[in-house]
Amino acid sequence: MKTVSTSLIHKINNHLGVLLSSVEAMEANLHDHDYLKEVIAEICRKKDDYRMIVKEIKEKVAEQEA
Amino acid sequence: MRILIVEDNKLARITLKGFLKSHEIEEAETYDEAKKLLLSNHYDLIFLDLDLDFELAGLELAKICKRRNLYSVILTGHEETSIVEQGYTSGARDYLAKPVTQDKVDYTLQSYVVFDSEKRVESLIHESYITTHQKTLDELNMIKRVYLSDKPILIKGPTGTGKTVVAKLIKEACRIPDNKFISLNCASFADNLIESELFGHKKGSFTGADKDKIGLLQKADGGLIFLDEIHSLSMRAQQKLMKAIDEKEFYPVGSTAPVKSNFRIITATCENLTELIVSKEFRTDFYARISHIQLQLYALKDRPADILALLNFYLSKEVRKVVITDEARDFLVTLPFKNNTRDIESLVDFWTRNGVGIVERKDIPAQFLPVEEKPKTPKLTRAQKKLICEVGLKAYMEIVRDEIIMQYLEMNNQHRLKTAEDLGITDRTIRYALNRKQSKEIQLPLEVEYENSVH
Repeated sequence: MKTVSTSLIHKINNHLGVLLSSVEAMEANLHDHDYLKEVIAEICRKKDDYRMIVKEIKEKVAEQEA
Repeated sequence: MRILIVEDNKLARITLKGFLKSHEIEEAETYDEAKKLLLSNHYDLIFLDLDLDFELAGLELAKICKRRNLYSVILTGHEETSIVEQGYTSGARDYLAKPVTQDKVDYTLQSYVVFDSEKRVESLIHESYITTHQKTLDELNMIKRVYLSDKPILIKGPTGTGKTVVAKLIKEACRIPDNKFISLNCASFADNLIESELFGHKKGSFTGADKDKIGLLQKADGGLIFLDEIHSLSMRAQQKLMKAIDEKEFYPVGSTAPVKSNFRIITATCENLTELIVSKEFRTDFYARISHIQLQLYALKDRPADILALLNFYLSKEVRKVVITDEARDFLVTLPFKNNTRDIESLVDFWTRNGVGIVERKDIPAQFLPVEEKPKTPKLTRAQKKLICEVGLKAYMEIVRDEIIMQYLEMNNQHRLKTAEDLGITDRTIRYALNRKQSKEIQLPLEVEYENSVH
């Protein structure tokens, strides 16, 4: 089975890792609304980065299927 | 704690901040920003992302942290061992592998607390005990590993080597309040009284026990009891104390109701307990209970380099400045100082009391000199001993004094005032001596033999 590129794995790891950590941090600070807003705002700001990764994954998968 | 987070990814930065909510947090996004903060502020802990505006910038910042003696933790997504090794080599104290979680952060904080406590204990050691002697330092450094344990500690060392100082050091390291540090010199109490001191007693349990007394072990509940000169403890008291150490429970003298006390015990001795065990003066089982952890302190003769350091320490406490000549310094480090630090303290006290400004070799009193250099003292001849037996010591001393006066009178051509001045006595004393001489005419055997006073 063919695999996706190393740089893409790094990107997924980094972004998904930080995203998961931020979810845990939000969970630990549910009472702190200011903190929640700050984290959500940053996640929203990064949504284009996430879209780009999803796009890249789709392309790689299509490439492999072809 | 004041913490700096150096991370270029804002979401990662905010996330880490969320795991460190109870601390004072500052943030930096770039290498330059972080460097500026590190050079101008003090932080307890610094989290450093490895790659910032240039690759491995975190390693450069770790070097700055090391130079400024700051505790840094590398944040790394790189799992390669070589990267972690580079982090340690650059001066980082720990690393935190991404993704960051609450558990990982808590673990890092715990490691920092342990490191910080060790650092605190290390400063306490350096502040409390003056030494550059490696073996002594090794023993003292053991405190960093054992102070949190509740196991008994036995401090061994000759008199005046600072056993009480070390016990107090452990008390400080454990943050035990003053009122929970109970100190007792076992040699200060008779056998029958020591039990009452340690375990307390009930009113009427023995003659003189007119009211209930709380024992020191009970007073040390939740704290530390330091028993110095533990070798003086009677076999009976050793047995009772051993039981109290094992069970943290004991019976006051004359009481049938047990008392519970959660105390930690430190003992000290200048004797060789193993020898006392052989001569059946110390219990083997009691020794086993009190000697879980042993600290050995060394006499000054084994660490002569500490003599000058201690002299400088005690001299620095005096208002009046005292200077020791090079010759006296060279000589001082060769002296035995049998009572160790106590002798150094007495020596400084002697110089201060006697107004010595520049200490030369002659200013070192005989009591501190090696035996062979002690001034020779006369040994009594047989005739002198016989005379003492005949007339008694008091009358003999009178005869000796009168004889000295007669010799001085002869030297001074019977000039009484000159003799009085030479001997620092009054003319009246001389007249009395002359009268006695005329009336008694006892001949003092003057020949004396000289030899060292100490054998």
